[in-house]
Amino acid sequence: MANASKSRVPFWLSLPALLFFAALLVTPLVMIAVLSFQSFDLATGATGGATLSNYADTLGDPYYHAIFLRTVGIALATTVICALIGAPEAYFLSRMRPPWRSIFLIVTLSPLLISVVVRTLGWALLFGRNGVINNVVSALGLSSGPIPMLYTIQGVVIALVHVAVPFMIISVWAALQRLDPKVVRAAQSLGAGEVTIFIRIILPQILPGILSGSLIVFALAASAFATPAIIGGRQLKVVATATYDEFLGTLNWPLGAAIAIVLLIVNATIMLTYNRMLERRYARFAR
Amino acid sequence: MAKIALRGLTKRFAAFTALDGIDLAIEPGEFVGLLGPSGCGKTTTLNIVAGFEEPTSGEVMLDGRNLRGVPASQRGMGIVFQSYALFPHLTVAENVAFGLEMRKVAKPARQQKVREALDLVHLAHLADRYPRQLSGGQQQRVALARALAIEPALLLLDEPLSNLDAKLREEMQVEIRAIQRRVGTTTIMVTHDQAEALATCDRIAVMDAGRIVQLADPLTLYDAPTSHFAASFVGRSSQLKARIVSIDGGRCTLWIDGVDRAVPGTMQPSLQAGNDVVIALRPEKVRLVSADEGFLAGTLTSRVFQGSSWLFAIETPVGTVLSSEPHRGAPAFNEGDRVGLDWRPEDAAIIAGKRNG
Repeated sequence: MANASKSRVPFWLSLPALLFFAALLVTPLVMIAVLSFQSFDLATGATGGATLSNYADTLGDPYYHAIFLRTVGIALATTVICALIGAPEAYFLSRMRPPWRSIFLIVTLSPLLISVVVRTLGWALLFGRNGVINNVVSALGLSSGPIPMLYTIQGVVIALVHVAVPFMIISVWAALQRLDPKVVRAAQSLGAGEVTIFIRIILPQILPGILSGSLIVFALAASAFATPAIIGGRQLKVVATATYDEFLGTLNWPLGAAIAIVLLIVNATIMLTYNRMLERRYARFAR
Repeated sequence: MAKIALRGLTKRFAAFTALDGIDLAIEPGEFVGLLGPSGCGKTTTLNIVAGFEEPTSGEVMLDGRNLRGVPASQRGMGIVFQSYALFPHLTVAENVAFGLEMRKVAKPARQQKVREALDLVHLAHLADRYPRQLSGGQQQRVALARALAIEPALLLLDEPLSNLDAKLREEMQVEIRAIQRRVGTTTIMVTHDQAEALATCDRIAVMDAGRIVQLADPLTLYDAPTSHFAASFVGRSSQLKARIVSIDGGRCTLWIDGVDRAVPGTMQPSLQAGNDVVIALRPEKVRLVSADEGFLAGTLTSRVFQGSSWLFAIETPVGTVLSSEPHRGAPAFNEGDRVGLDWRPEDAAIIAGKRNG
């Protein structure tokens, strides 16, 4: 009796969090899912009933194919660039001497303290035809005309990298903390130079950190709204902005819901597959 | 010529002197231990020899060549770390092969050498395992094989056995010694464990506060420590304050104030009659006799059975003296008995005392 009631303690303790989670995440998600099966009429809006036509529209229309491909492409590019910047940066940070290490770590993570919207508007100021970057480039005579960056994919990717790279650094940093610092000296004593040590000894050990960081960055980039909305504008739509336009522009809520659900499924599938691959690959030597 | 020579090695940090003039010459094939408590500078010395730290002043000479400015990766030293520092993402064989790969040894020769190194530490059957699948003792052997595979100019062991349990540690002491004898690599071992140093080293440098306080072979170090520090850090000893009254060749007569008694001891060349000294007595060299015999009398306050031996503590007017004897049945004396303490003159080591101390 006492045992039975005791074994329920964890359940009761986690109940508030479970309720909170259900109310704020599961309920709206279920409502969106239900909404995505309703039919839509321009005059009356969502009319209830059950139909797959929204999914047929989303999956069959080349317009949405392009948007989905663009979204995944942007997310992939952002992930790769974040890994290329974040992994070495975290390693350099970890090799710094004590006072500088924490100072620079805070500097690296400080963008997280500023709203994404504010940061992105900052990029918009830099990117514009008469923005800081183009002014500098033309003043130096490096380019005949202004380089297009605002409303381009590369502009969106640059801004997304800025938003997401701290998450990669945190993830790699955590992996570096688990590393025995003496392995660097061991490799040195065996005759390895700095570059060899990074590639042969450090990189394989922090790869799980890079890969789990990639998961976070990919998820953030694929579902990002503010950055593509501001830098990409109306022409360069991604899934999140397309969903927004269906909901608030054409007021076709069921179609917007269907797009959102498809994005969720695509995102979840990519991440779960990737995670499964990771676990299999690194089960051998991970602690 | 010495294989490796340290000359006036000094290392200063802002407000702290880690090394204060270390001089040490090690002959080819020798196994030398740096023994001392943490913070005595033994690890700093090793790091400087390995090339991980630069000395503030002084030189490290390897085969007569000054190593100043030579990076660790060019020194060709095999190092076994306390944490082993194996590469967790590589197999045992790949770990051992790493140093050979860096030396661009061709694959067939490399495999041959990896095999030899693993045979040396009896781990050939685990070549394809990953480090985390091995026990602590096995990881330690892999670390040793990895360090030896490159045929290092010098083998450096940094507290190599301190992460092993007591029994395994004793086995590895014997084994490390045997392997070192077989390959003949000049070796420096850093340790804070005096038993480990006594068991494995040809010579031991006892270090304290950045200096070598005594450099001697294990037997001399144990039987004739030249300082308080060496006498108390290496093995156990009871220390009695005394004054030299007369010298007769290698022997001397000492006066112990508290008991107004003259006792015999072994002279040290640097001392003279009249010097204040300390008599250091090893427990196993102090014999219990009946109260009216021996040089000192006291009360037996504790009698501890240690398995292979008994340890006695005897309260005398000049302090507690420890005595031990091998276990051959219950001893003749009980706690509370009055006993006498006896020793042979050659077993009482004399150490210079602090002036008026």
